[in-house]
Amino acid sequence: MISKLLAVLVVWLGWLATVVGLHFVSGVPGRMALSLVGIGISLFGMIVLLPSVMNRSVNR
Amino acid sequence: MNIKLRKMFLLAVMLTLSVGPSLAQVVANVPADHELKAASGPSSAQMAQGDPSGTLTGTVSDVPVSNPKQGLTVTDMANQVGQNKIAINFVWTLVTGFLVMFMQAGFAMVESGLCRAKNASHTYMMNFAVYGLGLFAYWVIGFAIQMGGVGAIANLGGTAPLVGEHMLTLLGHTWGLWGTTGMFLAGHSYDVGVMVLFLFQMVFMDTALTIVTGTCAERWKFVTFCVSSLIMGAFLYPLFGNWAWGGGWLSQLGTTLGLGKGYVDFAGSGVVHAVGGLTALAVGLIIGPRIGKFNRDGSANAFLGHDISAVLIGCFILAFGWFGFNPGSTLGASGNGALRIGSIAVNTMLAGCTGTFGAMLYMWIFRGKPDPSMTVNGMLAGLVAITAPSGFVNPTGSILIGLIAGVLVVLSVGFIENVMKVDDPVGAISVHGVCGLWGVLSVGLFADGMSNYGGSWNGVTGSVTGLFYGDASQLVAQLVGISTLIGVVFTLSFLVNLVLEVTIGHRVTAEEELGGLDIPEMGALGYPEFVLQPEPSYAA
Repeated sequence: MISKLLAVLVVWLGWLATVVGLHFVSGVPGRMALSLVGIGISLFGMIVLLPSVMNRSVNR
Repeated sequence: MNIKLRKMFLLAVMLTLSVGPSLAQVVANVPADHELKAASGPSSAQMAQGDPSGTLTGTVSDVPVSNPKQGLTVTDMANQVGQNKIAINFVWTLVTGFLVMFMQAGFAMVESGLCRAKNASHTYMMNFAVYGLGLFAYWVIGFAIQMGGVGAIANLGGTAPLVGEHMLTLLGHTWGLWGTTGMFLAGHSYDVGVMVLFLFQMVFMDTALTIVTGTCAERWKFVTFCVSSLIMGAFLYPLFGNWAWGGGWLSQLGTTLGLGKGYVDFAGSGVVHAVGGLTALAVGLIIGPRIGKFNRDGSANAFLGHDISAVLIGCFILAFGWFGFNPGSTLGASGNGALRIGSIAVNTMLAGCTGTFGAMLYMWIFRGKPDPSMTVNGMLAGLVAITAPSGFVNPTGSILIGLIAGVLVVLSVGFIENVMKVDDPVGAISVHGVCGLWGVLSVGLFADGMSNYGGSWNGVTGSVTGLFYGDASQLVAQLVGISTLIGVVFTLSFLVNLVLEVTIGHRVTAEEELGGLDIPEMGALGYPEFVLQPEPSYAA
């Protein structure tokens, strides 16, 4: 259960990086880059971490 | 005559008829009250003879007079013009909402057709029941959370009672989080404009809910499906709906941080489809693959659907309903640039067309045959992708958006099955989740800056314009929306459904799954005269 929660935490942290980043960077290119980094972190959690954790526990 | 009223009348005439004469010409042509009094319609004797040509029906006789002693006045005329405009918009929004409602039938046919015969009744029933479950939850609180703070919508002539938005002040800005008025459609929400808005938004919400049933088909416990759908209709869907459409923080990104016109999603690639698709992924991860879907070496087995004719006809019903989904999202056919409905409808059909081509040609070239089920998914992918940008792009943009979606959905289905090892019987995660996100992104790329819905969008003056037409900041707003969909909507959906897994469990027993869900879950077979094929060796 802990590993599932940690994996989904990574997904959420990606969003946090995006929205917090918007306030620290003012230019469009910088904001775009930070948004992409945030989406990348979330995607890593969602399509790499979570499936590996879930498939381990629900493999039938 | 009251000068203010005369000015209002002039404005209404110019807006309604879209005429282009100079103001002086219009002033000269405005009828005085005494002229209106002199105007008369056909006599009773003429009307009694019938009106086969249609030239006698609908005249000055049909304009209500507020004061019979005064007779017909300019005020009466102006009121009638205003009522006509709002009536046109009400009828348009309601009829398009009815079309979207009928999409539930299309979803039921596509999903059930792609599942095995032993689960037909269960899959159809989930699609049927989700309509009422979602509607009830949305009536109780969902609508209030989503649209409770949207304020007055000009095309619907009011909705002014929806003025309560819970705000958070953070980092020097005020952010809308959720609406607070409109629960049970009671109190001041008992309003004609609010009712139209409720119906239209409700059928959108139900579309999102029914996406999840496709991914979880053939092993989802019915009671858990009911609870999960109620929570999604009451809280999860409306929350993002508020942020995007209800005046919430994503829609404010243009005014608060100068990002284009804020997060823009015309008809719901993100709000409806990505929310549905990502929730489907969350539940799909929790519920796990169907028994026998994956071999011990990780390779996948194909479970063929039982009725490809239902799939193809269901897809056409969905494509038909999409003409309600996208053009209806203007919330009117008169005023505020709503005449763009023709362009929106054409964009919708073009993207569906190229989405079909994209998937069909990909399968034909690289897999040898134009696979029917994947071609269906290609059309749906194109339609999903054009949903967000349909109001802001030109036909060339639509063609490209649909074509890319058609190819993307085939690649995504393979990735989700073979790399992520998630079992999605109907490809809903790819069609709605992945292509929904692509649709959101494409607004930031292809919006051509030619639309004009009242001169502004999300409170920012000007037209929505994407990167390829000169506004890179719009793309950033769209990326923030995508990040929110994945980082917040997916996360919340996962956590809520994880709680349901721990408490009541998502999955039926192995015995029930192998025998088919129709008898144990529904009490009756979908096709009682069929002889069901026994499961292969993995069942042992």
